[in-house]
Amino acid sequence: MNKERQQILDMLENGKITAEEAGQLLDRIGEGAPPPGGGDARESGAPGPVVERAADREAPASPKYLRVLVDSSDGDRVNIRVPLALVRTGIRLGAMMPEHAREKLEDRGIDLSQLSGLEGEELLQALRELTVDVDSSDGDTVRIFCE
Amino acid sequence: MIPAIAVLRFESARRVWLPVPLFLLWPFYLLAWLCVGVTALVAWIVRRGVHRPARLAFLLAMLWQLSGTLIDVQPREGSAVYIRLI
Repeated sequence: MNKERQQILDMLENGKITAEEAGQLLDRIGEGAPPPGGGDARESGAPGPVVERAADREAPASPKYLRVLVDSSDGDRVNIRVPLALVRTGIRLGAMMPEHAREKLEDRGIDLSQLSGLEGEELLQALRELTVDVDSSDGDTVRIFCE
Repeated sequence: MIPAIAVLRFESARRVWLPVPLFLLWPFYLLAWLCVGVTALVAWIVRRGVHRPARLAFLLAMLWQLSGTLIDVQPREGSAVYIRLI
């Protein structure tokens, strides 16, 4: 445990600061709370945190592909890579949609025209930050990210 | 970029890799673009069925972006599917 962190915990223990203030200070020094039951990664001399958070994963500067990885506990494996340019073109799917299908979607509150309003860079920015990590208790894992 | 080669893999009795030379179809893409252009021009003149050429152009645009697509499905039972467009 580093010195700053120890000082904050001492101040909390002595009642000089509240738990909320301690949390804010810990966030400010860039560590946050250790993972439950995991302890501090720095104690073990590890170079980084023990558990990689999805938000911490560095996205490439300009992602080219949307990657979907599915690994089920049954042994099924799916690996799909879709060019983002295709996704961008696919957003304009409304052009292909028949009128009656579009009306039915709008009746259900789905407005595809909002999607087509997204410009290329805006969409890329949104997709760059997209990371979905699902680990089910059955052992199934789903990963969706851009690369 | 239009995909030039499709790599398919079949895993039935034995593993078979099948490269499909899609670039041989490029003249057909060019013809399709020309047809779309002419149809759009005619539709613009006649003012009927304007949306149809737009949809065709959209499909061709989708085809253009397909390069790099990879689909690899390996079920525990049954035959696997592997499609890669280069």
